[in-house]
Amino acid sequence: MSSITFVTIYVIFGYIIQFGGIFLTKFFTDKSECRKPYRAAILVNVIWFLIMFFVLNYINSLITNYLITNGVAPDLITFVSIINSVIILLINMIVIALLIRVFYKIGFKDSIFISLALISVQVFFRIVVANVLSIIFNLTTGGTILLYPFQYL
Amino acid sequence: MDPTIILVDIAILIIILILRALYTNWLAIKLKWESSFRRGFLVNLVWIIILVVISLLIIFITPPIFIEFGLIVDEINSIYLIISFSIFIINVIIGTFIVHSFYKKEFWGSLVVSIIMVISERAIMLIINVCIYIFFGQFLTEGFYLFTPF
Repeated sequence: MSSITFVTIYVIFGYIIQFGGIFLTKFFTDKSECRKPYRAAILVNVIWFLIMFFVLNYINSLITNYLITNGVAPDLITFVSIINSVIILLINMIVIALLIRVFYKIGFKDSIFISLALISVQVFFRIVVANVLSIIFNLTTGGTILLYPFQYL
Repeated sequence: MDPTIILVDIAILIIILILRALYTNWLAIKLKWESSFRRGFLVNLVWIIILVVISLLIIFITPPIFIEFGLIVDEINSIYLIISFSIFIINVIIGTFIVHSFYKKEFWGSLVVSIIMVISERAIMLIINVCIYIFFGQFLTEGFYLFTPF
């Protein structure tokens, strides 16, 4: 199997994890004693997905393309893409915290905690999927593949 | 290993331990658990000691095994991929059990605290490692938080 197949599988899993966020949001908000129907969790996750997909991904690809077209050293591109991923992670956290605050009417610190829990669990599953796919790729082809910036350390 | 690196590592370890204790304490308070800095510190002390022991065992045991079996670089890389992933999972499992036993609270909460701790630390370590790579031109192969490879 080629690396494209593995990337495709990872992207599919990425969407599953992304929308699994609906159940996680419901779970964590229920545990924080702010019970609301699933509609609120769906709204939070769909709006978050749209912001991430259309704004953050766009900005990320814009920066990377700018660096590539200007012939910047590969090391610097790697550095910028990792820093981008971390910044995007932080922006995601703030966006979810704000959405939870708006939809669930809870305090900012509590919403920060819920978004931290939500993002961490999702990143955990992404790391697990990315590592499992990388190990399979390595065992079948002998090569290495980076599917997620946080997968190796 | 250079004694200076070991001393710097120990200093960094103490700083990380204090930061982790503060973070654990905050997370526990957010989960409405009875918590204190002392308890957070103990949780992380036990957690880090277990991890350091596991990592040091792997660091010192694996190279002679690789040499004995005459493994090639590609095979060693594959084994290290599997080991580092296993340690990541073991880290979360150990953390869950330690948090659960110290705070005497439900399992899901301990798991969430453990995952948040591991992921936050990984994100911060990633930034530090990349910065070191950019400014010094190479990744650290020894030292820095005692168990660099994992």
